[in-house]
Amino acid sequence: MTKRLMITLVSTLVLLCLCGMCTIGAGEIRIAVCAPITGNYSQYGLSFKNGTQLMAKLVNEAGGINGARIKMEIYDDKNEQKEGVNIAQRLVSDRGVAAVIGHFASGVCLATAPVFQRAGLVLISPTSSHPDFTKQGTYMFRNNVKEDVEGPCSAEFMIKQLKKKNIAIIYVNNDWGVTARDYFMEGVKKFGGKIVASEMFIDGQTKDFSPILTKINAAKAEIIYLAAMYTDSGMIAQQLNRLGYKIDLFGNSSIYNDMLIQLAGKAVEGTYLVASYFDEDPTPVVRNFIANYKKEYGVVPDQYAALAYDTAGLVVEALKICGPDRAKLRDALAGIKDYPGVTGNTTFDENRDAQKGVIILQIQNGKFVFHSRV
Amino acid sequence: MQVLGGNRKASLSSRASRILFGILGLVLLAVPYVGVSSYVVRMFTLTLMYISLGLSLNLLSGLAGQVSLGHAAFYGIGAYTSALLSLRLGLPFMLTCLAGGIMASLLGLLLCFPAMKLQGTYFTFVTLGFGEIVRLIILNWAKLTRGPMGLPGIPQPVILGIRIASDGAYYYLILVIAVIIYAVVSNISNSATGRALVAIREDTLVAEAMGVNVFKYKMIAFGLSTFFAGIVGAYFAHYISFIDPSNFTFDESSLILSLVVLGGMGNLKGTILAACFLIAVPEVMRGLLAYRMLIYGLILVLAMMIRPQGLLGSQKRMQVS
Amino acid sequence: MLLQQIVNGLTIGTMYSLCAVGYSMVFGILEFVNFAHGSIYTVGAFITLTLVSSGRIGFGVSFLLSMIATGLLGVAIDRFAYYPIRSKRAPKMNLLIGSIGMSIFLQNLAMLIWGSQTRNYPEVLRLGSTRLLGVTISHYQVVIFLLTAFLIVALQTFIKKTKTGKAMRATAQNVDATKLMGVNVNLIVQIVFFIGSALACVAGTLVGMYYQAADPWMGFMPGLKAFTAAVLGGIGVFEGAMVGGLIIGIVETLAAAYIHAGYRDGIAFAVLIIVLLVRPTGLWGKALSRKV
Repeated sequence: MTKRLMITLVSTLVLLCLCGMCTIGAGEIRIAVCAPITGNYSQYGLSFKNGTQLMAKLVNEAGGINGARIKMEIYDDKNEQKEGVNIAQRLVSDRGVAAVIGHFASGVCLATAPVFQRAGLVLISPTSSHPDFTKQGTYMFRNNVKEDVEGPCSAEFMIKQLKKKNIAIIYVNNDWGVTARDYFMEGVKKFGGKIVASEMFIDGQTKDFSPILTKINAAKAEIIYLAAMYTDSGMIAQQLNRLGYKIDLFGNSSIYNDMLIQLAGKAVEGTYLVASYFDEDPTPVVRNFIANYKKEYGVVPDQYAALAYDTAGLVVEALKICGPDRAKLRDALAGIKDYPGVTGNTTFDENRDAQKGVIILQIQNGKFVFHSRV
Repeated sequence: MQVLGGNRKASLSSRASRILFGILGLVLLAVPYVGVSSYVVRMFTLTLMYISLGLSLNLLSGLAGQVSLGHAAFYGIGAYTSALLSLRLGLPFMLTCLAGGIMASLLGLLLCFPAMKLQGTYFTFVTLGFGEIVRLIILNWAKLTRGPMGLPGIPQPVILGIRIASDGAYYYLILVIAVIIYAVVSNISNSATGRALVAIREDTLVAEAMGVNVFKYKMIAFGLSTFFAGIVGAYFAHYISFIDPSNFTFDESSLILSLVVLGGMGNLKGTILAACFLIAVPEVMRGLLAYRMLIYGLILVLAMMIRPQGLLGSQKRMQVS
Repeated sequence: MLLQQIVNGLTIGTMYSLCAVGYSMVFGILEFVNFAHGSIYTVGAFITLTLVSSGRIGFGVSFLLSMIATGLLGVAIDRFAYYPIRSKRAPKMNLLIGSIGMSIFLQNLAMLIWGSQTRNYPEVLRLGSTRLLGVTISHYQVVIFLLTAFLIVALQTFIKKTKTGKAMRATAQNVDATKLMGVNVNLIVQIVFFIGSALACVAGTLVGMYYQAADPWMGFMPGLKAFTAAVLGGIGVFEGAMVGGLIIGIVETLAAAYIHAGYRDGIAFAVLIIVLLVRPTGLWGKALSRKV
C-alpha cells in the first residue's frame, strides 16, 4: 500500500511541476533576473537582486513605463549551468517575460546563451567577462568593463606610475580569472614589465594562500596583481601581512568592496585598484542611487549592485522606446547611446559589449579614495 | 525484489507497477507531441538523464554494493572525451559517444583495484577522492580541456544522417539511451551475473567460498556502470553544447547516489521514481528562492527516515540485510 | 623557503587534526561519514562570532558557550535525524545520504541566519610573530598548535581513564555486546556527538580567527580534508588523526608550492588513496579482522 502511495505522491509532485507557476499580471512588464541566491556565490546574487529591484521600485514610483508597472522576477540559478538552462527554457516558453538580466558567472551565460538566442530573448549580464559570451548571438549583451580594458590599464599604471618592474599575479582559476590574467599579462608585456610569478587558486576551496605567497616572495616580486574576488583578496592581503613580506598589492575592480577593508584592515592600506564605479562619486546620479539603496537595504551598494542597477536601467530605457516586444527590445537596447548610469556613461559597441571608462582608486586610512581617471 | 524471488504480495504489486510503467511508457513517447512547452520537454530530458545515471550507478552500488561517491567523474570523462573528439577531430557523434563510454569505463576499471582491497566507507571515500582528482585534472589540464574556460560550441549530434537539433529530438535520444540502460541493467540483475553481484554485496567472503570469481564480477560491474555513465556524459555534452568542470562536482555525485539510495539499493524502478522526485522537488520549489535548498536538504533527511528501504523497497528485505 | 612552507603546512594541518578527531570518534562508533560535520564546524564558527560580536560577554565565555551550543546541536542532529534512521536498521548508505542532506540543510540555515556575505571575524587575540632562521612563525600558529595538542591529550585521557571513556571504547568495538553489558549505547553515541561537535566548533572558531573570515560554505573542504586525515591516520586512533592532519597539511602545502597550486586539493586525496591501498586501515589503524 505504502508503495502505491509513494508512486501517487511522486507523480502528483511531477504533475505539479509540469503545470508550473504561470501567473501573468495584467498591465505588468516582467523582467527575469537570474542570479545565485543559494550556494557559494549567493553573496553576489544578493547584489543582483537588490540592484534590479531597486530600479523597478523607482520606475514604478515614477509611474512605470508608459503606465505599465515593471516587475523583477528573481530566479535562483545557484551559479550552475544546469539550473541556468532549466530556468532559460522556462523563461523562453513564458511569453510574458520581456528580457532577462543575468547570470553572475560567464560559464552559466555561455550555457544558456544558445537557448535565449534561439528563442530571440535578450540576455544581458551585468558581470560576465568571458570574451566568447557576446559572440554567442545577437541577443547577448554585457554591461561591465571588459578585462581587455582593465588589464592593460592596470599594467600601464603599475609600470609607468608606480615604477614597478617585477610583477606577480594571483588569479582565481575560473574563466573570469584566466581572462583577467591573460589581458593583464598582455598589458605588462606591452609596457615593458616582467611577470616573475603567476599563481592560481581554486575559488571556494582555497583559504590558505601561504604556499603561493611564500613562492611569490621567493621570486622577488615587487607588486602582486590580484585577479580575485574581494573576499579572497582580503585573505591574501592579510596572510601576506602575517608572513611579513613587503610586497604591494594592486587589485582588479572585483576587489572594490568595503568587505575587503573589513576583512584585511591595515593589510590593504595603500593598495591601488581599478574600478568603473565609485560610491563617493559626487555626481547626482550616484548620490541618489547610494541614498535610495541605503534607505531600502541599509547598506552601501557594492559594484555588482551598481552594475545590476544600471543593467536594469538599460533594459527600462529600451522598454520605454519600444515596449515589451522581444525583438524590438533587442534593437532598442543595441541602439542605446551614452546611458547615464551610476557606473559611467554606457554605450554598446557592435559586439553588444558596454563601453565604459575606468578610474583608479587607492585605499587610504581604511577608505577607498579617488586617485585618477584613466 | 526479483533477485530474491518475492512472495505473492510482492508479485501482485509488481504486476500493478508493470501496468503503471506501461502507461508511463506511452506517456513518455508522446511528451514532445502533446503541446507542452520546451521547458517541460527539458525537464523530462533532464529527468531521463538522471534516471540513466541513477540506473548505471545502481548496477555498481545497488547490486554489487560498491557505493561510489565519484560517479560524476565518469560522467565528466564521457562528456569531455566526446566533446573533445568532435570539436578537435570532427568525429561523428556515434563514435565520440562510444569513445566517451569506453574512456570512462577504462578509468572505472582502475577503481577495481581499491575495490578489491577496501570495504564499505573506505572504498566510498576513495571514490570521492578519485572524483575530486578527476575534476581537478580536467580543470588544470588547460592545454587539453581549456580548463575553466570550458568547451563551447559542441556540435549537434548526427545519427544515421539525422541531425538532432530540436528539443524533441534530444528528448527521444535520451529516452532511447535510458531504455537501453534500463534493459541491460535489469537483465543483468535477473541473471546469474546479477545473483553473483548480490552475493558479493551481501557477503564477499561467502561469495568467494561459493566459487564466485569476485574480481571478475566486480570488473563487470565497474566496467558497465562507468561505461553507461560515460555515454550519458557524452549525451549531456552535446545536449547542453557548453561544458566546463563545474558540472562534475561532488554535489553531482552525491545527487546520483541519493537517487540509488532513495530508490532502494538494487531497485531499478525505485531509482526511476527517485529521479523524478529529486529532480522535480527543486523545480517545484523554485519560488521559495533562498529557502529552496534548505527544504531540499530536509526532504532528503526525511526521506531517509521515512523510507529507509527506499521509495519502492519492501520492508521485508530490510531486516535481512 | 622549504622550511617556511613546512611551517605553513603545519598550521593548516593542525586545524585538520582538530576536526579529524571529531570524525574519528563518530566513525569509530557508528561507521559512517558524517558529512554534516563540516557544516557543524561552520555553525560553530558563526555561533562564536555572534556571541563575541554581541559585546556583552568576553571571548573566553563566548567560546565556551559556543562549544556547548554546538555540542548540543550535534546531539540534536543525532537525536532527530540520525537516530531515527539508525533505529530502523536501515543500510549504512541511508545514514550517509541523510548526513549529506543534513549538511545541505545546515549550510543553507547558516546562510539564512547569518547572511550569504563573508563575515569579518574579530581579531580577539592580538599576537605578533617571530622570525627564526628566516622563517616567520606567527604566535597564533603556536597557540593553535598547543591548544590542539592539549585537547587531544585531554580527550585521550578521558577515553582511557574514565568509565564513560571505557564504555565508548566498548561501543566502538561491538555495539550489541556493549548493550548486553548494560551500557546505554544511545547515551554514549550522544556523548560522542557532543564532544565531536564541540571540537568542530573549536576548529571552526580557530580557523575563523586565523583567516579572520567566516562564510556559510567554509566547512565543506576542511570537512573532507579532515575526514581524509582521520582515515589516513587510522579511524578511532586520535594520535593517528593528529598526525594524519599534519601530514595532509604539509603535503598539500608542498604540492601547492612545488608542483602546481591547482592540484593541492587533489594531492591530499591521492595520498589517501595510496596509503589505503598499502594499508587498508590507515597508518595507525589496527588491521580489520574480516568477519567469517
